[in-house]
Amino acid sequence: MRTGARIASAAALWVGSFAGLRLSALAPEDCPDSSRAELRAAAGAAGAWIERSQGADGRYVYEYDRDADRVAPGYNIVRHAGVTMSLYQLARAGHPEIVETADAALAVMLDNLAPAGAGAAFVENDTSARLGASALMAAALAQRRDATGDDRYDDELRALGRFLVGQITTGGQMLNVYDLQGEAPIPDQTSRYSTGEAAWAMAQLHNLFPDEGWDVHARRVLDYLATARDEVEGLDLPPWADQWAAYTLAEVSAWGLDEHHVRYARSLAERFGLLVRAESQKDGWPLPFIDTRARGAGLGVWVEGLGALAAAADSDDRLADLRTPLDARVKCGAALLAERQPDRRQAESWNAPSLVEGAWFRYDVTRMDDQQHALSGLLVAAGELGPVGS
Amino acid sequence: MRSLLALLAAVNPIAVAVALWPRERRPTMAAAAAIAVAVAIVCAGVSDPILDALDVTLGTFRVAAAVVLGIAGARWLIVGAPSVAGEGPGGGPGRVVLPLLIPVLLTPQLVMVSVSVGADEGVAVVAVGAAASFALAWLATIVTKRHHVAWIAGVRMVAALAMAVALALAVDGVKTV
Repeated sequence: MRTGARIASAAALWVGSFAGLRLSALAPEDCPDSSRAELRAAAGAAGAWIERSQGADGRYVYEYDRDADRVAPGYNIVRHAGVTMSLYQLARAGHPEIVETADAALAVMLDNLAPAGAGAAFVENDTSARLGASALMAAALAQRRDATGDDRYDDELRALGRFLVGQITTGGQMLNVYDLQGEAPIPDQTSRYSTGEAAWAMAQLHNLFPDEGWDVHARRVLDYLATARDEVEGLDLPPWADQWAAYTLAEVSAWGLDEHHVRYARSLAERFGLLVRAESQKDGWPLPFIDTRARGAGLGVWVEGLGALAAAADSDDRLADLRTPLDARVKCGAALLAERQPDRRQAESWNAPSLVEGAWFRYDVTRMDDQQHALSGLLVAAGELGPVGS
Repeated sequence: MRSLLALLAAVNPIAVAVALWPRERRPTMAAAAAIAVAVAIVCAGVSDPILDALDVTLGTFRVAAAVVLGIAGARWLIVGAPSVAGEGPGGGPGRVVLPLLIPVLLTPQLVMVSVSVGADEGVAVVAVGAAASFALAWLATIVTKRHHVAWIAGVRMVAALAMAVALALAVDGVKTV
C-alpha cells in the first residue's frame, strides 16, 4: 500500500472507530443538574396529576392518550394500591395536604377488604385475592401511619400482614393468588412483582411494630429473593431489577443485613446502575430511534431501587464503597425524570392540559403508575424517604 | 493482572512481529516502541479529562474499550496479521512512523485500553504494562524467526486472549454502578 493510501486508511480506521463508538456504546451520558428543591417540586407536580385525575369514586385515571385525548377504559387494583402508597410517601415528604386524596383512594381499598386466610385481603371479586394488591395496600397503610401518626387502621394493616404471611411457602417463596372460595392459597402461581412487594410490606410492619415478629417473615422472603427467586421462577439475566426487594433491603438494613443480602444489594445496584446509565445515553442520536426512552414508570422504578440501595449503603459499612456511585446514579436518574416531565406551559398545547402537566408520556400515553414510580423515585432521590419509623 | 493482560492483548507482540516479518532493525523498532509506550502513558495520564470531555463514566468507557479490543481480537483471529513490512521508507525516522507506528503499534485498542486502565488503576499500571508489552514486541520483532506458521498460530492465541479479556472488561463495565 502506498504511503498516502496507508495514512488515509489509518485515519479512516480511527475516525470510523470513534464515530461508531460515539453512536453506540460510547454515546454521551446526559445527566442534567437538578437541585433537591427541583426534585421535590417534580414529585409534587406528579402528586398533583394524581390528585387531579382522581374521580368522585376515589379511583384514578388509569391511562390517558394525550394525542387522542382519550382516557383508556380498564383498571388495576394493584396499581391503585401502589399509586395510593406513593401519595402517602409524598405526605411523609412534607405534603400533608395530599392525605385527603390518598384517603379517598384508601376508602376504595377498605371497602374491598375481605377475610382471607388468617387475615384480610384487598380484592376485586369474591373468587380470588392477589398478593400484590394486599401487599401494596399494607405498604400504603404503613406509609400513611408514618406520615400521619394516625393508628386508626392498625388492625387492617396487621390483618393484611397476616394474609401475606399465609402466602409464604417453605423456602420463602410467596404464592400470588388466594382462592376465596376454597379458602386456600393456589399452589405454583407466583409473581415477579408481588413477592418483593410483600417482603417490603412485612419489613415495614416490623419497623412499625417491632415486638410482633414480622421480621422473621420478612427475612425469610428476603432470603428467598436474594438467593433463589431468579432461578426458581425462571427470570432471565439475573438479578431481576426488583425495586421492591431494594426497598426491603433498605428497611431490613436497620436490623442488620446478612452477607447474602449484601451480595444481592450489590448485584441490584449494578443492574439499576447499568439501566440508568444506558437511559442517560438515549438523548444522543441515533439511540432514541434504536431503543426508545423508558417509560416514567421504568425510569422511576430504577431510581427508586437505587435510592433504596443508597439508604441501605448508608447504614451498612459493607456497602460503603457504593455510596458515591449510587448517589451519582440516583441524581442522574432523578434529574432525567424531572427534565422529561411536562410543565404547565408545555401542557397547554394539548387538549387536556390538566392530564398532561406533571405526567410522564411515552408514545403520547401515560398510565397512573408512571406517576407513582416517578414520584417515589424523585422523593427517594431528594432524600425525603427512608425506612418507616426512621 | 487483568489490566496487564489487557495491555499485552492490545499490543499483541506476536502480531507486531508477524506484521513486520521477517525482522526489523533494533534502533528503529526501539524508537517506535518508546513512542508507543509514551503515547499509552499520556493516554492514561489524561484519562479523566478524556472521560469528562466525552461525558461518559468509567463503566461506559470500559464497555467501549471492550468492544474495540474484541474487534481487534476477532480480526487477528480471522485474518491474522497481514504483512506491512514492505511499506514506507526502508529505514530511518520515516520508517518509525510508517509502517511501525502506523498502522502496527498505535492502534485504537491500545488507546482505548490505556485510557480505561489509566482511569481505573492509574498511570503506573499502564506504564508497566505498556513497557512490558512493547519490550516483548521489540524482542519478537528483532529476533531471527523461522516457522511462520507457528508465529501465526501465536498471533491467534493472543487474539483469543484479547477476546477473553475484552469479555471480562465488558462484564466489568456492565456491572459498574
